[in-house]
Amino acid sequence: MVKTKKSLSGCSASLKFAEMKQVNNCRRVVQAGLSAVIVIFLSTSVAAQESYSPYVGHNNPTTVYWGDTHLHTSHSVDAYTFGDRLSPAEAYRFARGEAVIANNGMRTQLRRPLDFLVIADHAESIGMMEGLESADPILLETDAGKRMSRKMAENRGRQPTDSKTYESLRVIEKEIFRSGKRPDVNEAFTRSVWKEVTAAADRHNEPGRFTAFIGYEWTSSTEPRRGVTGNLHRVVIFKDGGEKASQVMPFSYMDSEDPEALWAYLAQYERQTGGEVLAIPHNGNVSNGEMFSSQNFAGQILTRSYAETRSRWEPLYEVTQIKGDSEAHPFLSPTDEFADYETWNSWFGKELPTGRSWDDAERTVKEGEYARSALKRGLGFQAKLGANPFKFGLIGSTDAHTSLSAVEENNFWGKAPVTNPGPDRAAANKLTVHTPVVGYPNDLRRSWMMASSGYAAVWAKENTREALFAAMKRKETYATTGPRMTVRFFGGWDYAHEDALRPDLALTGYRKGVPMGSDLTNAPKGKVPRFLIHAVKDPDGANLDRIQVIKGWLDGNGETQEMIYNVALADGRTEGKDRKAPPVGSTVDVPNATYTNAIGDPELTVVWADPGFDPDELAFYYVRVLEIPTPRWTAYDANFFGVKDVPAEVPMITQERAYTSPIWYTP
Amino acid sequence: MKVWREPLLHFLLLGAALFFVYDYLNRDLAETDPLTILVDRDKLLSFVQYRSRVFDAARSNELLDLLTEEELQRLIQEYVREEALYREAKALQLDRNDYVARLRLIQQLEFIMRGFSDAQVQFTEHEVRRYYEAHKSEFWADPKVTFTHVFFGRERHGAEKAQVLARAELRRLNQSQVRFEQAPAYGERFLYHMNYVAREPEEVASHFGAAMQQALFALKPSDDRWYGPFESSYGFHLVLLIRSEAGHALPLEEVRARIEQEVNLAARESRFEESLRPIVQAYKVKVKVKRDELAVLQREQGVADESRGYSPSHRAPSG
Repeated sequence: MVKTKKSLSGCSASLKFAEMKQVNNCRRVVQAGLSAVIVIFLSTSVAAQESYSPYVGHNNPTTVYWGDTHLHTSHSVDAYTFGDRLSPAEAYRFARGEAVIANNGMRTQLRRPLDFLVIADHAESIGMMEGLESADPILLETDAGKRMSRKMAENRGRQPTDSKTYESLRVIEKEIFRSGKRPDVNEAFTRSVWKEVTAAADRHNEPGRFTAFIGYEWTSSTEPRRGVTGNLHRVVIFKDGGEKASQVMPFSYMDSEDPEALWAYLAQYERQTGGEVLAIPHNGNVSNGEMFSSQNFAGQILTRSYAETRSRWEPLYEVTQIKGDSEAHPFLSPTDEFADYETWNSWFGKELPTGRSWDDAERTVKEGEYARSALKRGLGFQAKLGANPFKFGLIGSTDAHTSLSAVEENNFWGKAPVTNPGPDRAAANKLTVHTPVVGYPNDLRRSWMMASSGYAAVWAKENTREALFAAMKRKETYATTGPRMTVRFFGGWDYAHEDALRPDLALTGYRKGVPMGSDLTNAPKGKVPRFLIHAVKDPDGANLDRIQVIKGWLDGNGETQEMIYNVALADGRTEGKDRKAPPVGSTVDVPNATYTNAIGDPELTVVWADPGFDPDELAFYYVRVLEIPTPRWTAYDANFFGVKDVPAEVPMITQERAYTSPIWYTP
Repeated sequence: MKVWREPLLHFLLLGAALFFVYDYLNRDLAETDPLTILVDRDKLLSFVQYRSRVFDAARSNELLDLLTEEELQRLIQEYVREEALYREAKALQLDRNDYVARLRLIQQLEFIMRGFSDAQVQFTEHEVRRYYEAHKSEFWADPKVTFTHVFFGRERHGAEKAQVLARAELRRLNQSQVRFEQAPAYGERFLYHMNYVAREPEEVASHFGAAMQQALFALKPSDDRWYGPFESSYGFHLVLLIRSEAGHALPLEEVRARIEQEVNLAARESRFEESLRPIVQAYKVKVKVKRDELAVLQREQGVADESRGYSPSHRAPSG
């Protein structure tokens, strides 16, 4: 016995009495240790015998949730100026599927409710227009407030979208922003508005049924360079409720226009409250090259610290919205026949003529504006700095200033109340915002250029703030230009072709690889990345044309490259020698604004392996799913209002699409 | 001269003198001159108040004092413009027999009255309840079903074979009493969902088609009895429907916010109409309307042709 004990525990038994106590303790420890070992042994042996239930440990998202992360209401100074008088309450009701009365007097309703909404009113003087209208006592305490209130008073009795109202409100707007830098005018009032905003979000947040996030927009832009300002706007989204979010004030461009200052504020928020927050930039297409510039706000080359900070606070990018689609540009991707989609070249519309060649400087600017080129740039920085500043997932949203998150093609309510549905909206001469747009003297933006786009799709476990926010942080999201296709995109080393046919495709996807927004590293010897992709049409929408995988990589010479693969084609088509596929055709009847699902497939699935893989090269892959052609919102307008003379340059047909977050490969 | 002693002449001269004296003393009173617009403080105050629909003399007074010179000039210009056009319109007798002017005047009055009545609106709990009762049919939660299904694709097998496969599988499913959670092991992948939990008719119809949706909502729920095959545009389905919830009225608390908005609007309207009533009732009405006796007779005999109104399709009330 003693021997056994000794050998087991190394506790010597032949000791003097003084040490007996030690031995006893030792024995106790040994006994505890032994039982622990037995327990571990038993449990591992149970685990070694797999559970009968295939769902043990299966914690993965099974549902895709639809929402808008970027909506403005009457609380935004510019939305109010444009005629929006609908409050957040109406915006929430509309998003939840109820009928509301739009600013133009028509009743409006979504076809299907959204699952979540972020009302992101501009932080700058948030709610001030309404405060002036209702003669809020806090505002009337200052001379500036009194003056502006008086000016506001002259608008009572006028229509909100009347041009006289607009001019008057523009004057007030100027005054607001002039006095905005003075805390005595804004601070107390903003605090009261922010409290009300957070309370409204909490009130409309119904975990499991509808998620209302607290948020706002930081409306920064760069100083004019080459005569043009660059858009640097970000939407800030809090995971938390009012208890934490109302401990801080919205960070506006009056505090700073430098994104690094915004990120410092976000870090401060998390430190102070223990909450979580993120920022989503948008409209790189009108940023004059600044959104994904190789230099920071101060003009210095990006550093590793910048890259780490940016990718930490900005996991997503709003790639498509009413002010154009920022995925790809036809000049940067000349072989991509789908790249010229709702392309806006600047605040000043489509002023770049086709067929024109670019110089290097112009090319560099453009590369800082589009998602695909930015992702490629990010690979370059990854190689140089060891961190990737442009490692973002993708979502879509509206940026509507109408309080209505309405971008279904046949139910498009425009960017501003003045572009609510009306007979002249599709016509050439109507401007997007107002006639004339004071401050944009050469405004070329025509209302027909608005894109009826987009929504954010989020793969999450449940419809709650925590689950959706976590999904956004891990980038398991995708963007669509309006329709609700379901898209699954997994990357791994072991997918087999049969996996595409499995009923539990997603389970296999998670088990053998990683979902969209994730990383693959260290390719196993002799293996190439394989991607399991499944796309299903919007049940109320059009069939699918094709699935494409877009690959970007950093080649041996330090140059970035891109390649588009048609990985699944509907109607049994195949690629030709030139790697192009014949078009799917079109069933669109423009005069009647209808289409049929006689072409295309309702569902496409594929497992695809990268034929050009090099395990030593940094790369990313993302999926683009295209629908068959359908009528554009301009065709629905022309049909409904009986417009006969729509100019030739107005597109009437669109091919809606989804863009997934990329999967990155690192050697 | 005899004429100078005429009393009538004296009166004439006195009258003329009075006239000239009056004119001289009131030479500043430009109101008498139709081509002069006098702008004074009172006029500006009324102008501002009518335009802003807020009749607060004290506040308007304050605001007037705080205007900058430029703003004051602008205000005066606007007033002058309005006054000039108004006088011109009157000179052209546009206000006589002009129906538009008439409507405009009425609108102005209504505007003013609304300003008064809006300020006083409140509504009670009782009104909320009454609205709820009256509009019960609008506050309706759609029926919901919970089911899982086993699918055989038309694309893959062809319609006939898919149906045959489905029928055979149905027998097996019922024999083995396959439960809800075991269903994923059977059939093929369906492009939308495997399980549908508490789904409403519209969503089920958009995935499976109207015919199958109607059949499902008529099915009796059961924990172990499979039914089918049901046909959708994609193929054939065997369904295990475990729950079926009928449509029901939404309780008051759930729709309170919506009701309060509607009641508020209705209360404002009725308050407004109430405020107009005393104005209308102050007038005595004499009716002297002659009608074509023959036409009246014809209508009463139902001979007259009524064009029926176009009834738009009625969308089923959704909750």
